[in-house]
Parts: sequence; structure tokens; C-alpha cells
Amino acid sequence: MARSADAISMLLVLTAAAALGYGVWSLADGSEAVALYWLVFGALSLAAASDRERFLAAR
Amino acid sequence: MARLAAALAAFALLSGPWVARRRLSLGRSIGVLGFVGLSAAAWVALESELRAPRLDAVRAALGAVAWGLFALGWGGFPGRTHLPEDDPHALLAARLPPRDRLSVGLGLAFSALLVTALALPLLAWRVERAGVALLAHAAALAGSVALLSVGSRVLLTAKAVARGAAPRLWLWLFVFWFGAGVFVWLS
Repeated sequence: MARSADAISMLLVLTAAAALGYGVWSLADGSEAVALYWLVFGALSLAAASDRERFLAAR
Repeated sequence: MARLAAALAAFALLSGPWVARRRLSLGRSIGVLGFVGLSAAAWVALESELRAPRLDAVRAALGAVAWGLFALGWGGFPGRTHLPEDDPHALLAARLPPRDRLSVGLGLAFSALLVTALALPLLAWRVERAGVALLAHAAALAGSVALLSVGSRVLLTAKAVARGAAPRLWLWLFVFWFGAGVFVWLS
């Protein structure tokens, strides 16, 4: 077992952080459709990262 | 209606501790659930009178302090902590050293994750419209908790080298959503 984070999972978490941040930011700018797109984008990215992390942790 | 609910709420607040002396669970139900429920009924009956511009600042501040005291009033101080080492059957030995240490890079990555999770709810304060602001705060809070939960697991738990096919459902949905976004943007 190696204590090193998986690169794909890290990339997905990073993408999720950026997408969620931009989604909340877009809500303030009044563009709800854009905000919704990025919030869902962030949620899907986090779900994919979580899925992969569970797979690797179960090995 | 609001006055009646408020009076009943005050009655529940005062009678709850008195009933709790003999029947603890009933007293707590009256004092906590009854008081909060009747207070909520009073707020609903007040309708537009509860809007921020109509509220008196001093009364609002006193109300906030009173709710804090109410929460503390029904709590209790924890009993004396029992240390496991005090048990006569405890096997005393030297502390076990950690099996592994986090690298500096992972420490920095976790700090960045923590800062991002804290910054998301702060970003929501940019939203000024009433209904959308509530959505922004809810989305930011949920995103912050999810980010911290998944991110800390990704960064800090020990991993094995990937063998075999990893689950790809969410990854495909993510790629599909990204592709749909690019398609809409280009068209």
C-alpha cells in the first residue's frame, strides 16, 4: 500500500473545486443556467472521484 | 394568532423544565419540541412582519442571544472524563509510532482543499437576490462538505496500485456532461 494520492482522482477533485466555485460565482452574476451547468459538472466530477477512490481503497 | 402561539410557546418554555423534574422525556418534549414548534407557528402567523427591514435590530439581537441561552439551557455538562490509562486492567506501553508520514506536497494539497472548502460558502455571499441567495448558500455548503469529504479521502487514505477495470459510470456521465456543454457552447 502506498500513501500517494491517485493523479486522476486528484484531477477530478481539482476540477470539481473549480466548477463548484465558478457555479456559485455565476449565480451572483445572474446567469442561472450557466451556474446550474457548472454545479452539476462539479457534482459529477466529485462523484467520479469518490467512485475511483472507493475502488482503489478496496484493493 | 401570532400572540396566541407566542403565549403558548412561552408557557411550553416555562412548564417544560417543571414537568421534566418528574418525567424527563415528556418535559423535554414540551420544553424543546413544543417551544420550537409553537415559536415556528408564531413566525408563520407573523407573515411579512418578519422581513428584515421591519425588524428592530435590538430585539433581533436579544432574540439571537436568547435562542443561544435556550440551546445551552437544555444541555448538560459532560461528566468527569475517564482516562483509559487509569483503569487498573490497562496495559501501559510506549506510544506506537505512526506507520507513515504525509509528504509536504500532500500537506500543502490538503491545506489548499481546506481553504477552497471554506471559501465556497463565502463566495455565496456575493449573491444578493433573495431566492437565489438561499440556493447559492445551500449549493455552496453542500459542495463544500462534499469537496472536503471526497478530497480528504482521495488525499489521505492509503491506496493500492489500480488493477482491473475501475468503475466508470460517474466518469462517463461526467464526460457526457462536459461534451454536452462543449456542444452547446459551440452551436
